[in-house]
Amino acid sequence: MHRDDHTDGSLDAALRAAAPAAPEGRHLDAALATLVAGLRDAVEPPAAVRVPSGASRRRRRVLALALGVVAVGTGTALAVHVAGTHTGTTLPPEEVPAGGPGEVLRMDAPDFTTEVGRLTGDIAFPPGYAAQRGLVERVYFTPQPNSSVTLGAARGYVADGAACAWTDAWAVADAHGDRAGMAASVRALRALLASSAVRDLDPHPAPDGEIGDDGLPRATRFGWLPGLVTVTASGDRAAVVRAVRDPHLCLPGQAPHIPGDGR
Amino acid sequence: MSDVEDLYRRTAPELLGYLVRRVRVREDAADLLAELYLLAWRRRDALPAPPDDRLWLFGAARRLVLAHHRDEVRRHAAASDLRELLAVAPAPQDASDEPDPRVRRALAALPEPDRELLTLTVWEGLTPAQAAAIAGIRPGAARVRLHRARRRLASALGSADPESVAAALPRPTVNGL
Repeated sequence: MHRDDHTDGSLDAALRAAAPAAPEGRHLDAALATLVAGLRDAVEPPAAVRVPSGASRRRRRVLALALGVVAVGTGTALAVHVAGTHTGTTLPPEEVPAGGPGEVLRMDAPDFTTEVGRLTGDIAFPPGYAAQRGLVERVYFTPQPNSSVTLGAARGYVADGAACAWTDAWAVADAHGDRAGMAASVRALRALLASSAVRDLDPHPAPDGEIGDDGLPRATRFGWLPGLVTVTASGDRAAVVRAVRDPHLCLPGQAPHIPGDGR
Repeated sequence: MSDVEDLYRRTAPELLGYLVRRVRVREDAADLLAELYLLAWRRRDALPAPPDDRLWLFGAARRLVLAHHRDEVRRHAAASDLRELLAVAPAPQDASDEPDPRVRRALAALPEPDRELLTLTVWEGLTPAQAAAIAGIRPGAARVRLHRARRRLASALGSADPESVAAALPRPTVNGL
């Protein structure tokens, strides 16, 4: 055997041994069957609408909850029919780390798109980046039945998109030798880092500010943003590209002038 | 049975394995699995034909995991049974079954694309070309990255002889479902 092959084989064996275990067995089969049944019913509900019996009412409630819910619990915000975006409720404190702070907003409300646009409108994008803001809205704010999102989470999604857009604007300015444009982008990124859109979700953004279940340090929600500010301020284009590309910070198309922006 | 259900039955166990191996909280894999197949269902008219549909799922799962590391958990009631199952099982048999933490640390230190290529090939059993397609890079670049990742890993493990590392590790309890 070739030495390199032998070494690679041994290394692969070590890697396989380090793979986190996945479940197996009949309990898994049953759970997977339950999951696909719930998804099928959620995606392809019966066409006919009728007054449900007690049993089917319970079933409808299960199906209603099968679609996406941002938060650990379901809460009262989800058990209502079409109403306005605002619920006046927030998540219980123990669910905030998963679902985010702020008011729970109904995503199936007729005014949801307008309202979420208004509630996130203060988060600035560079001139000419309306399409990138629209991309965030299409990906995260498409109205969905029986779904909700917290105001904090919604503003966080838009802040992600704004960071990508300002970094892209920085790259465009850099390509044209536009130092004033580069400086404006750095200022905008600094302002974003200090903004409530970021700090409400992540009071202390840091690349190693959390400890994961595996005991290793992890980035906080916006732990990547201080580094992005630093590299754009440094003027190091290669470092900026790496900062966006390597961790796949941006949705495909959000930073169209940065090579490998996720596409 | 719909095409998506057939796809689910063919692929859900291995995609669940992929997700479990990449999330910080195991139960989150249940919700990501639900999200993944909801996405497939909604895109059922645009899914590639077999066997490429399986690779499409891996690519979509990768994007979900990347987004998941940045975003909040999106819970699905339909995934509750699976979430409970993941929360309680499987625990390591005993302390000797715990993998060497050096390997996971070394793996975590690799750049994300390199780590993903390596684990797609070693943990998920995909070919380098398939892993390249999922990661969105050219096969030649993937081979270079894989080679570099193995070198870095061997170096990070502090040994010119990774066989000694392998010998010190227990057999994996699970690889494939």
